[in-house]
Amino acid sequence: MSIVRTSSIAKRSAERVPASSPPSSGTKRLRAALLFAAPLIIASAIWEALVRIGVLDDRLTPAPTAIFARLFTLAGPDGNYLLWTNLGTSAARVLPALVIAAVLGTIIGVALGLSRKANDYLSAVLGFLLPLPAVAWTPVFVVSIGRGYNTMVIVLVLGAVFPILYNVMSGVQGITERHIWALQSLGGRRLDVLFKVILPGAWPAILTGLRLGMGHAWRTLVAVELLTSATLGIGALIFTSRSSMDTTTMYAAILAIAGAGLFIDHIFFRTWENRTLGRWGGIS
Amino acid sequence: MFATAAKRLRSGRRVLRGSAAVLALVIIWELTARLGIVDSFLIPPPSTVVAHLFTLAGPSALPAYALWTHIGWSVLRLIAGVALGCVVGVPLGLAMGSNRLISLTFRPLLTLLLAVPSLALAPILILMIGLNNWVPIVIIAIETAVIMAYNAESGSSSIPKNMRWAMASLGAGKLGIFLRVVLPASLPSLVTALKLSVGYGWRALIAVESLAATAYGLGFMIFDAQNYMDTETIFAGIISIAIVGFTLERAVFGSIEKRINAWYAIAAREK
Amino acid sequence: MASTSKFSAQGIRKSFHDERTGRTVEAIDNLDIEIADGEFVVLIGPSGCGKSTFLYMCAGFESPSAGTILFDGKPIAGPSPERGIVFQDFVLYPWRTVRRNITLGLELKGMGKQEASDRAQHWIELTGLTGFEDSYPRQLSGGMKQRVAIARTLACEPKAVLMDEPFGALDVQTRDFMVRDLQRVWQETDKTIVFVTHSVEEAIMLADRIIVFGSRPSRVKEDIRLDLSRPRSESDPEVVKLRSHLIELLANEGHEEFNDALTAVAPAPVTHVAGAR
Repeated sequence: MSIVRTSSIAKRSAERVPASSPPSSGTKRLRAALLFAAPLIIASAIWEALVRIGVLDDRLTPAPTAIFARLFTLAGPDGNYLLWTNLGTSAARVLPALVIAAVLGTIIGVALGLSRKANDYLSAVLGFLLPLPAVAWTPVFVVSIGRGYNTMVIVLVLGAVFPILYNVMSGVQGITERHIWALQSLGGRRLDVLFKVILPGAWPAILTGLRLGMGHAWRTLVAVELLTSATLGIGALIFTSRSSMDTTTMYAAILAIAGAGLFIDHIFFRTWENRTLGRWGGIS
Repeated sequence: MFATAAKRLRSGRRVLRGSAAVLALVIIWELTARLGIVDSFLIPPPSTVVAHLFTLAGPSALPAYALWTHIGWSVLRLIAGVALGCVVGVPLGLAMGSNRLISLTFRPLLTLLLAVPSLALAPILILMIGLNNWVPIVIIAIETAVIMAYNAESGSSSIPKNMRWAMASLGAGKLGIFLRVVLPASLPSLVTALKLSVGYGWRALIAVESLAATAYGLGFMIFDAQNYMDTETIFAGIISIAIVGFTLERAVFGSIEKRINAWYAIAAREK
Repeated sequence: MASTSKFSAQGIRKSFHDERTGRTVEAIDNLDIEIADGEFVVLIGPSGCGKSTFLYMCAGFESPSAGTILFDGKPIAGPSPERGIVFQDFVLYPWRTVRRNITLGLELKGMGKQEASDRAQHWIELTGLTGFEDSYPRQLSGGMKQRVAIARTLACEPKAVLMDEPFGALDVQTRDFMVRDLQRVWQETDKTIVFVTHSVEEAIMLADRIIVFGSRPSRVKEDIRLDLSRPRSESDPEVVKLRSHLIELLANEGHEEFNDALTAVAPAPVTHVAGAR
């Protein structure tokens, strides 16, 4: 009696993303956090030691203490809050792109999921475009529109839209007929079915798609900032500090990117998931 | 049989419709470029692009057969990276799946690495080992290792305990159990992860090649062309990237995945 | 008779064409069924005989390949809240609480949230769901989920309720309980109910009239009117007789040709009046 049949695509995407853990109490979460941090702390300590004794070159692999120090400086007034300005600039590119990709992906995904005809016509084209890296489109747009904000957002949209589209489509396809019939027997018309059955029913797939799409967009962000020679942005920060051989800042930026990605994925999406799927029982 | 004929009819219809859609898109593209609705310098018509593609693949290109050289280098780097990543990631993942301590130790590192876009590691890598082919290979290897480890762990840890026990009571030792239970049972997850790695690896590769860490490669080809505003080459490159990416991810590894899954489904049913 | 008919099916034929395998399945061969207002009709027959398909035609999800089916004298054009449905696998919406599942039909009519909630309260109490209004379906047992489904359908105040093996997914004890409960609910609401099952016990406990379907392609094998008092007792000799008759009917499905010759039982409208009369 599940509303969604698992499909290979959804499953594949789920395998890519670490599974959500059930909502836990305060101490459980603390314990999990400690368990997570412990190996990292130990590894950092070893790294630190190796740098201090001189086994590791501190120009290529600066000590973790130095990296964290730099991170904190950049986050504060001494560093002109550069960390935040750069993260903010990048976010200002990714977030609108994700919203656009979500809207486009959901609309097309629902349409393809509901209509077998549309599916027949378009699945070949889409299947072909899916493995195409969004970065490959950058030259096209750089040459036509230049290296600005718009190019970046367009490429990010292209990167995020396909996983969202595919997941939404498979989510909609997984909704059984009877759920639609039940609503019609209660007096539901077309729009009712769309908003009260299809969208909520496809929600887990939509969420998976959004999560994947966000991941794609975040990864593409770095490439896009590089290729458009952006001066500002957390990805750009890595490349600008390369020219001054400032490896400490490079590592700090990498850490910031990873941290931001983890924050969005684990905290934002996981909470969202728990509040919806957690209460509904995951639907499948 | 009548059944398979009808099945072929259904999929035949899909192929027909799919091709019709592709054809329609190509025609629209051709017309908009030729009629000048879109600047044909910025977006050249498909006929020109395809012609250019063939030129690049032929002896009159500069250097000769340039396209094949680019494709060759890209594919080589991808395969080398994926292979290296598997060698590291699969044993690690399997170990994590059977030993909780190992899992706890490496999980955080993997999660962290997964969150880092691979291109971000490139500049540091270049500083360490210079501009050469190892840069893309190592980057792909890191990403592959993480994906393979993750999936190897989840694949091997989800093996029901009684499968291992059954093998043990048949007299198999730890190695026997590993070879006869853990490996075969993890295979579907590993194959799926392999397909994912190829997909992600291809993306990372194109991006890394744009750094001009190396000469040749499809990524290099299109970004080099960007500098000369050579839109024909850019589009030819995009098409090549799409075709090769599709072939690798879907055709090759996709069908391997399907075969393995089908084999396992049959084997499961026979039980 | 036709003026009090709730459902009027004539000459119904239904075949399915499976696109994938290319085969055509004749589900229903020829059905003529009239269901009166307020009747509790049970459709019983072997698996795959088309009784659910007929129910779906009454609901408006499927349409006959030939023949006509009328509801209140008008052709059935599609699903409607006048003909409520209850499925075997509950088909509740997991993202809505019990209360919101039940108010769904009222919401669709345009009723305000507060009013819908107040209306729904009556049905919640009637189906014994008090205290569970704010739970999610995931937290409920099978029996409770089916009660929600029933309450949801009843809240729309349909003219007829169609039930497709509603207790098939429940364990035996819950099923007995639900059967008794359904009788109580029916007596209080007095609707036309068309109930599909392959359980002889359920049929006897609940029905005013039992229509036995033959196997595919199906026709009406027998149309039995029950005049037994409710609640039905298992030890009542008439019940026992009816029970063995039905079991025999269903068991003989494969050997229909032989049976016809031996017992000369011809498929016909109302053949049998069982009961204390």
